[in-house]
Amino acid sequence: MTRLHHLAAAVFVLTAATASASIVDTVHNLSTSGPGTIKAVSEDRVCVFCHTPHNASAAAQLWNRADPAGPHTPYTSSTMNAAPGQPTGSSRLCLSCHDGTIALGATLTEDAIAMAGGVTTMPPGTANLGTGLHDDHPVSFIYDPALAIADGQLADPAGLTGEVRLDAAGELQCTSCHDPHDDTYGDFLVLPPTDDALCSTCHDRTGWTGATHNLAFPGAPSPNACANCHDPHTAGGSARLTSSNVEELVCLTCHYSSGIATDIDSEVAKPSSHPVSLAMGVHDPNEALPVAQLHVECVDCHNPHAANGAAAPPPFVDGPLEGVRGVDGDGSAVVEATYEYEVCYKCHADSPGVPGPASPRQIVQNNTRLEFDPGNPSFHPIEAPGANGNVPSLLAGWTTASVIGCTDCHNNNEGPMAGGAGPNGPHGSSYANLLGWNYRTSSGAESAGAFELCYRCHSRTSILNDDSFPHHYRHIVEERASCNMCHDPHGISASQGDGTNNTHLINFDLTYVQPEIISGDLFFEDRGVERGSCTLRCHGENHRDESY
Amino acid sequence: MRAAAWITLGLLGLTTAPAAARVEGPVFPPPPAEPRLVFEESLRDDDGYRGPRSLLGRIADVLTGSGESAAMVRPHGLACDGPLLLIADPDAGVVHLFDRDKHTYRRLPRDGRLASPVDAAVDADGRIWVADSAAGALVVFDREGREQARYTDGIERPAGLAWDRASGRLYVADPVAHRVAVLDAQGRLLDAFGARGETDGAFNFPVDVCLDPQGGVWVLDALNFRVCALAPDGAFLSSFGAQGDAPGAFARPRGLACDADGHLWISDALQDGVQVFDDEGRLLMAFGTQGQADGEFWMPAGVAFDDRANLYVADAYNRRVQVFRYLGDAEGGRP
Repeated sequence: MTRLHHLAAAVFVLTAATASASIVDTVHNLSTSGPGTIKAVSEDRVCVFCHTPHNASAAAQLWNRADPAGPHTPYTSSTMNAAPGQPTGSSRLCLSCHDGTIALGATLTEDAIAMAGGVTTMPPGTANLGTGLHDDHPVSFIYDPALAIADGQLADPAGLTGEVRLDAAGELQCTSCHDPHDDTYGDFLVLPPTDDALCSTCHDRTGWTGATHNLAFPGAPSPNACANCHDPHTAGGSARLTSSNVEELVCLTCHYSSGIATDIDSEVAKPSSHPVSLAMGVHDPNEALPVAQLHVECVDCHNPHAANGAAAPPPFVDGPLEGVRGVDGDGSAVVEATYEYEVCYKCHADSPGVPGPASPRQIVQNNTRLEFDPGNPSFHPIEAPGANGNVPSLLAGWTTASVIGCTDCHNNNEGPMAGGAGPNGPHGSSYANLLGWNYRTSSGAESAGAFELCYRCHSRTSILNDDSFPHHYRHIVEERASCNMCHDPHGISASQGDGTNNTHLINFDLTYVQPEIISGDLFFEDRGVERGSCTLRCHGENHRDESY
Repeated sequence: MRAAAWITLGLLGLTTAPAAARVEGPVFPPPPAEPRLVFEESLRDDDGYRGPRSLLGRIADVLTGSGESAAMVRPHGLACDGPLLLIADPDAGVVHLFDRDKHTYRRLPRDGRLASPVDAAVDADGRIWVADSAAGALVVFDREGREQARYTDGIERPAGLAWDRASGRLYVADPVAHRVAVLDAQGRLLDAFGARGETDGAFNFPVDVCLDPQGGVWVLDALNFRVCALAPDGAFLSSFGAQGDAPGAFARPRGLACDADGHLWISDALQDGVQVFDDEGRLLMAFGTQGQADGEFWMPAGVAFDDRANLYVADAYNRRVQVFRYLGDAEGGRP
């Protein structure tokens, strides 16, 4: 894209800003009396460039210009229900100058009208759309009630009786948004481009009324409205007319360190992150779920038309996750996630190539959804309260009936939940596996900081006091073990574990826990409340049916 | 009108480049227009800025750790003071300090890191003021990188800085407070201009500020998509700019600098380029496209001029600062 070099267009645009209700005072007046820089050398008739009273073209409007040959590349998008083909109707008339293929002075009835400065076709710049209309708002499609219903976020066309209108064939054309004879609002728009008025005549985005991006400015909506992220013409992102073809840049160019919006740019640069800059052109809003090719973009988790600041208790989605698709606990796609984990399951459940466990486990399960299934012998209470009714270590505020969110563990280490001033959510963390708090998995001295993550809910005092398992203190303090060596924090799937060997999140980390040396056995056996037995080898010691 | 001449040249493409300029890298505007800007080099790390080192010195570097990598992570705001180039790098948590004459490198702070250093400015005593946005503070260092002071008076989240050394006033663009604060050399709040809004004198996330050669204050009012001219006392004078992707319009304006001719150079993170305007808002030139080659950008941020007509542009996601030589507005000469 070399549009920045097109100085000529700058002149055109600067002049176009001069608003007027009469075509005579607009840049569409190409005669010698026109106010723009693109005008005829000597032709002083205003209308002749487009219209003629006699011998007009077969098109309507007494058209005085040839029909652009095309073909034009129409706009396409996987989420569009309309079917724009080759331009029709009045849009062809506009394109007879604005696709840059026909000289501005080439009319049907006159010899070529000479233009000042040797200009022939539309000079490069934003007014020259080219024949590629893929990066422009679609035109020349039937906009009927069936389309509005199929899309679900379009106004009923029966209401288009004001400034924005369809043509006689019921098609949306350039003239729906532009009036070539009236430049009152600039860019020949039929309504002011500010305050959403123009776009929202047709576009009725679910959730937009309460969305932060709508309400960001006092006296909402934002005066720049849709144009903050979308360009109706020559959009960098083509599909969905986003302002950049690099998905995350649409977001991160405001969400950066200067404080215009929450600084996510710095978050995704952290050592552990959802790396939105790695994939480009992979994400599609209509992609099948669970995601088939792993990737992450801002819009995988956020709906910029609906996201807001509302808080919600686990397991429900909070405002920032409102209106995004998900995968439910059964592995089925849902149109709008109700629970936070459904957003995570889009990628962290049934998708091929999903990362394996961070520690080498006795039982390996890469599918996070199966790890948290409420039918499991044990699991952290993400989808439902946990299986174990006896957890004496739980701190005030938590009970065995509690559920938690994925973000109770996976979050920003400098976010509000961690006592910091940074943004909430698992965008990035200084701790591995996008954990918001320290979680030492190796051998070492016990401290409040070593297992900061676990001690958020599980009382350090209770654990080290051996309130539940009577040998916690001996393992954690004396033998310098990590919680992670015996416990698998997500859970053990019902298809792999059972209610005898895998209660209490027991799934050994094979880095530290090996089979008992004589029998080759490695298991824990649940023998009732706070009773059990282990057969394994750890820290150099052989345990055979070591019971408590 | 010289400004008009720039545009005319670009528009008509009729002129031929004068034979004067012998150029190494990309030039802007491209031929046949008269070149105004020449790409010189890209700075990515302290390579070439370690100064003359003896073998013993280099071994000592390794042993003491002072030989640590000075690679840029995501350069943001820039400042110049004579031969010194300061590069605020929020992801590295430091300000890189290059001496372009002595070819030496230093980082601020000497040890540790700041929360989010986004811009820097040098006061009349040579002290280096750093805007730490996340800390909501201005941190002052001496040339050796020792922290001298830390000020928060009247500051919510500092972004762009500009020192008016003659009057001893530091202008601080504070996007979250939607105002420009003025501090003295002791970090005391002297004045503050603006509140959130769209009208003359109001701001909507002002992200950068610079001074013109006459001491006039220019504020990059990012989400009003305009540049505002203020008198030194904060009185609103004029503004220009509109939101859009056309040349002359702003999509995500991010950095602002003024050259010796009074032209305003404004980077745009979405346009991946820099646009140059005269003080009446007429577009003189635009350069840069998305990419990684010389003269191409990926999320450009801060821009700065040194006193020898070198232009520096922080090319944030390309992890470098690009250096250009400004050939000036006068025919073939430097300003």
